[in-house]
Amino acid sequence: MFFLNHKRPDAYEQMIDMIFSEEPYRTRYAERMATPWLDLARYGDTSGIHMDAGRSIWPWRDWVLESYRDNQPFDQFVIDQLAGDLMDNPTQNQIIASGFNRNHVTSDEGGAISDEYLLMYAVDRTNTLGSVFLGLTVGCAQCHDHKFDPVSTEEYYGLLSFFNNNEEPGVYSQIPDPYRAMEPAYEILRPEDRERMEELERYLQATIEERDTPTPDEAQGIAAFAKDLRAEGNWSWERGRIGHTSSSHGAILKLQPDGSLLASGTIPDVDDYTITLSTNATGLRSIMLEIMEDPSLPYGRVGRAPNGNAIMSGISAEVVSQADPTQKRPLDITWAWADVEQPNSDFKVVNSLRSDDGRVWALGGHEQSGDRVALFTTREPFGYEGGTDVIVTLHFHSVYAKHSPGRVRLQLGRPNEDVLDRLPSARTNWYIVGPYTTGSNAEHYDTAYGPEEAGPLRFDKKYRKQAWRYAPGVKEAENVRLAAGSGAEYVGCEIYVPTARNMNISLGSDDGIMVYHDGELVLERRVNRGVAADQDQLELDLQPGRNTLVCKVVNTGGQGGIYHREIIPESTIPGDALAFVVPDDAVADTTRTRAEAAWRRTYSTGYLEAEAKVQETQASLAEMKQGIPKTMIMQEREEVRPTYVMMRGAYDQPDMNRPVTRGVPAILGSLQTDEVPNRQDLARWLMGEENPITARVTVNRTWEMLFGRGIVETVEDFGYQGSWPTHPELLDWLAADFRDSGWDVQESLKTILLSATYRQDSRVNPLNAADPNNDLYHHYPRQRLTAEQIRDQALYVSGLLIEQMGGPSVKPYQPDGLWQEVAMQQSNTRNFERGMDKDLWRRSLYTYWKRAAPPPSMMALDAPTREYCSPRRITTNTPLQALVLWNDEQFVEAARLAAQRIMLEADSDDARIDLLFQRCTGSPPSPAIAAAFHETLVEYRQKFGVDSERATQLVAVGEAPIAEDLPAAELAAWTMLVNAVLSSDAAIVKD
Amino acid sequence: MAQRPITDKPADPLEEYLCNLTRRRFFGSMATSVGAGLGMSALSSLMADGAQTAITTTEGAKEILANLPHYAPKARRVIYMHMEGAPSQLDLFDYKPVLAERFDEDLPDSIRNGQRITTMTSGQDRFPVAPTMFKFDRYENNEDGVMLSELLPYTGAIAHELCFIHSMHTPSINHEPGITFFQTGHEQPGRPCFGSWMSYGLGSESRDLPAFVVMITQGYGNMQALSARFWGSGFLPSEHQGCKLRAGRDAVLYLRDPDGVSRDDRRKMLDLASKINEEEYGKSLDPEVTARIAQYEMAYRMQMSVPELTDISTERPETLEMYGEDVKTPGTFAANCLQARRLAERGVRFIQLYMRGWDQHGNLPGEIRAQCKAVDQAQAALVQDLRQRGMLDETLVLWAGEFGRTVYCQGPLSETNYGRDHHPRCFSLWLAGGGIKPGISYGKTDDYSYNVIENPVAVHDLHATMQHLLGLDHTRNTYRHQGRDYRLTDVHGNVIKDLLI
Repeated sequence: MFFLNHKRPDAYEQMIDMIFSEEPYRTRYAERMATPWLDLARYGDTSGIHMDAGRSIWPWRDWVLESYRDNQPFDQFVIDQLAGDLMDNPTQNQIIASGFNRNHVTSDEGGAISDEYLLMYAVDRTNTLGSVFLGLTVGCAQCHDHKFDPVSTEEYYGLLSFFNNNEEPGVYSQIPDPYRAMEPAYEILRPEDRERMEELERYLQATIEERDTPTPDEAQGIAAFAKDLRAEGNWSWERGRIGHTSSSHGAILKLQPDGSLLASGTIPDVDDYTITLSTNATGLRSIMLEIMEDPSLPYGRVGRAPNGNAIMSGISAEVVSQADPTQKRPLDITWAWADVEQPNSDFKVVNSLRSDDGRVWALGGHEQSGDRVALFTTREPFGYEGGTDVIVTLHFHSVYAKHSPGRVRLQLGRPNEDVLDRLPSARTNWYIVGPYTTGSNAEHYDTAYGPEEAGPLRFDKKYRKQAWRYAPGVKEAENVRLAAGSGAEYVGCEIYVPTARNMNISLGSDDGIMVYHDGELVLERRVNRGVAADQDQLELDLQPGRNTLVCKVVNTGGQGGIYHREIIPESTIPGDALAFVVPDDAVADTTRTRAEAAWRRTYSTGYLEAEAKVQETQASLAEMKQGIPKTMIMQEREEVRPTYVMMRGAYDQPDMNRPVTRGVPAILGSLQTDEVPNRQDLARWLMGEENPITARVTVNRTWEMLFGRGIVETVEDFGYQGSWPTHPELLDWLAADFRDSGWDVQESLKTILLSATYRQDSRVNPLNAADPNNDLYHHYPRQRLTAEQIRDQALYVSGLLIEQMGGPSVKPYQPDGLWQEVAMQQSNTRNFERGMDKDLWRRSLYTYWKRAAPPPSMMALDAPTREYCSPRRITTNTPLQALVLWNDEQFVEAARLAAQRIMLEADSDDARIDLLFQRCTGSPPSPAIAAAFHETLVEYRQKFGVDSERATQLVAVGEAPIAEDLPAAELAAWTMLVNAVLSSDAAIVKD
Repeated sequence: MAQRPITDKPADPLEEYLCNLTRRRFFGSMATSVGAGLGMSALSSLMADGAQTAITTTEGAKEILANLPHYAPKARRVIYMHMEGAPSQLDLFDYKPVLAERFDEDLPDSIRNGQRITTMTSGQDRFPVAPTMFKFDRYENNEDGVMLSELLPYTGAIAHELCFIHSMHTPSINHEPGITFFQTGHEQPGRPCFGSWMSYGLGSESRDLPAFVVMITQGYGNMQALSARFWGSGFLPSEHQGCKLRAGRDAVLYLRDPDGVSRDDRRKMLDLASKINEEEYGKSLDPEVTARIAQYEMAYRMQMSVPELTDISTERPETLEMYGEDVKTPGTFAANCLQARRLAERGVRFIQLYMRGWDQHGNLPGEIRAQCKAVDQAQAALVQDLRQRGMLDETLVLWAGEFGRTVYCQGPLSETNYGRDHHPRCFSLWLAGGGIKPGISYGKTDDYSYNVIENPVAVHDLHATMQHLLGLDHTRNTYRHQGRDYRLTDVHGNVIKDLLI
């Protein structure tokens, strides 16, 4: 169209200049140019190996786009990417650019060995450098020398040593945040962001201080509360005398002056500590367990595990009369509380009330310092007249080997009934069985699938092939999503209370619910509803000790859900404030602070206001941080890691007799520096006078982009094994011209674009016989568009394309389940959440690239997986490509939208057919094709007219709104026509 | 198969294309188009149609491939069941009765011999021996019988068809490099996988299905990651990548026409697209256009053949019963085994089944029991079914994990509960059919199933041997990439003649 409106002889050149200089063309140009660079740089949005964790390095991608758009000289473009971080006072952009060398895959596999991966990363960077800038496959020299290969193994490692010094771990571990920039990383802050953030942080500190400082009134109230709680007759404590102690698996327990026992000697995988306390007291009804830190333990923490952590799987106790040893009985422990419970899984202290099921209380010793304290109550008072031996056994049996605590102390307590009544209930986490989906809704209500049975939750049992599983998502006072679709799902927990009492629970469910207390049906609601707070109220008559609560939620369709909340009486002591029960010397400062906060939250209004302010500030700070882009960068280690020749390329076989020095292979030249060269020297040499190769390799790739084949066909290999250039002088001339232009990428492109060779017709002509391979370019070589171009073109002609440069990657349409079927359970990119609105219609280079399951339509159309440097895409022609173009929701929607546009823009069938073909292929249809369109249109019109149901279904595909005033049958017919053109050769081939 | 009435056309576009292709190749006028679609298959078109096409000479595929097959093939296809996560050879195949007396003894240093171990157990201060808790039974084979775990009764019943190798070894000690190595012959990502090499080397015998099909079953234990790279074509053209066959309505991605579009609508759309394409061909004489016409026709046929493939209502009740109850639940291992046979019948060259969930670091007995229950009956049924239909002799069946598991316990050890870490120094697998000697055991390990002591078999050897049976010289099934001829066996691999009939 441009030429129809611009009839001047230099119209073509003008158009090129316009593309380079005017929006939106220059952004489109940048997006076109960046795609092959992303292939070379192996850009992706996940780490690639094992968890395939999400990561953030899109700011680097955006930097590439900006560089192309602004026509940054190519030598700067390269130097910034190879050594931006090493510049004197690097700009933010230069630091971001260094991410080029971070795009490789990384591992987070549990058993992986760091050294192996550190070498692998350095090898990847070295080989990528060779392929991208030197047209050299240096990788062969990794293992040993080759007779005819000019690059020796020594030289290979000399090159590698530039890249073997990054401040990075060899093996990462996944964190929940899928937008993490794997370290070394860089936060992209504008100066005003930095100021605002610092200001917020200062304000937050102030509000926290305000919140955590009790007013004199509060301090007085707290002191009185604590004093009262521990007063004789309320809940007093005594230590007793330590008698016999033992470890079941041979650890040594030594009595310390403070009455604690310190473990030493062997650290068995599992253990049990038995401790005998002698006391003359009676009326005892509680046990306090302190687990204390000690310098002799790993990291000085509470546990004996190598990371300082510990667990407890169970506690049991018995009492023996000293006066009459035949009088003895086991203690029934009814309730537990602890000041610290490791938060990341099912690790509550109540788990230790049952030692039969593998669940444990975990102390989080590896994460948090400080002593731990736990309280337990018994059903009956204990203590014989004439003295008692209290024999307590602590169990440490679990899959977590060696997680026994290092130092423990016991105390015995005498709470009165009133205090016990005021203790909060202790609840396990929630567990789920189900859904059970076969059968009708009525059957789902009426069938007892088994989990509602009386007694404790049975984790070892299968109920119709399904078992209880921990459900971390079920949280107090939240609407929780359960399985979708018709079926029954059980949600259960155990509630422990020290004394008999009534408990009020408020419930909600989607849809109906049946509640069982220890096997007995206590609530039944057969309703159809969405979940909301407080739909049903329930009063439970709890017995001391364990009570099992199982809710069966029957979902009659759509999303299922549950809501629950305990209504806590005002007299109840708030959970954290229980720390006041504990004598001052037995409780950690952090626990004390939390206890004070809990007291103030319940009994003082000022605290709530202060806390709201803190939360508000934290939220705005978090939101701000979330919004700050992070990206992965290069950062040199302070002390240079020595590099050796690795025998047979193996990470664990450095040849200590052959340390290498940084340098370039002799055949390519040498670096002229006085000091030890770094990446900057390497990059400057690469783009310097001495090295002609990079210019050649680069223009050859430009040529390949434009003609589908390089002057040297093996664009990544200019060596002996590569193919011979078809036009060596031309290649040299273009390379020299490129360099002499000041590495002007657009100038270099323009030179080729203006050539007669580029502008000629693609038809095969009589010269074919003389030049059958078209080595002499007697016609322009037709090429199929790239995967990205094909999708983007469909979006463009449909009018859906959102032209917006840069930003985090987006998730457009893709079939369900593709991520899940390959991902590990714990992977933070296991669940694909499709984007909304604009995200569905961005250019393909912004599509989120999960390496273990790349976008399937892109893969079908020959995009590389981006796991390693790919200098060339090989175009194939397969039936799966046809299926994408016909049936991918993205393409069907695009066809419908293109049809809508055409119908709104033109009135007659003729005009519409013309417009359709012109728009999708760039030229009008021949009379024969136009006739074929007419014929097909008539047929579709008839078919969809008769069967309007089908027409309605077809035009409903995709999220884009339907033009209401267009008849569905007509729109469906045109949609099919567009679908035909967009999948035809005329649309997807450049000629 | 094409449904369209051909009255005004001189020939089926497919046949026309194949004529063009052959003629064009004959005159060697092909190399202009890098990766000319079908032409990239080294032996024959990926879309076999009876016509044995000539061989292309593009940059990648070397002329030497023109001599394919290198040998008279014994096997025409492969069914490869990959047990992802690495099943324990000690609890299934590698019978070590002496270990029963060595419960909780330390693994002798002379056995471990300083061998590296993963960072999951390298911190353990003891390496206590964990004998299997499972009973082994003797099953008849063509030797003196073979001892197999009680967990595999169905597999035991067909032991006379199977060739067990106990002396496999691999360099990798972790899953990602281990699976990558087993699939591609190299630990780092980037190379084509086994199935892609076979698609490239042998093409397809199917007119309406891809040459290389992959199916995945979710496991019952600790599931390791999968990745598209395991069935990726690496530097080979992407048409050789594995095509995933999935449970449910969309067995092949994008196969199903949008709601509201009938078969006839699609036919009309395709006719129109073909007219446009034919006109393009008239203008350009570009053979890629005719190739595209043919590929679109194949896509149209696939839309019918795949639903027919996945519809098992025509299977005899006895057959379904043989595979077990799960066979009717799509996506289960049993269902996928049955699909494998159906794909084999339809000429698919390389059929790969992934079974996840074998990574039993802890609670091994419980998990392995569930895993075996899911696979035992079905895998035996597959071998039997192939036998009954006379297809076993030409179908090479492989059952393998990426490495083995340690004799020493990971985590707490009791007589009935233990875990095992990764072990690369020895592991067991089995083969059947396709020219493999049936009913034998090959290779031996030491008393601890720790080191191979007789007839070691490297993964490259296995690849070489399997290619041999398919009629390929593994040193000549190569592809030129970045200046080097690559092959599945890298620079290694020996055909293990003892395994061949």
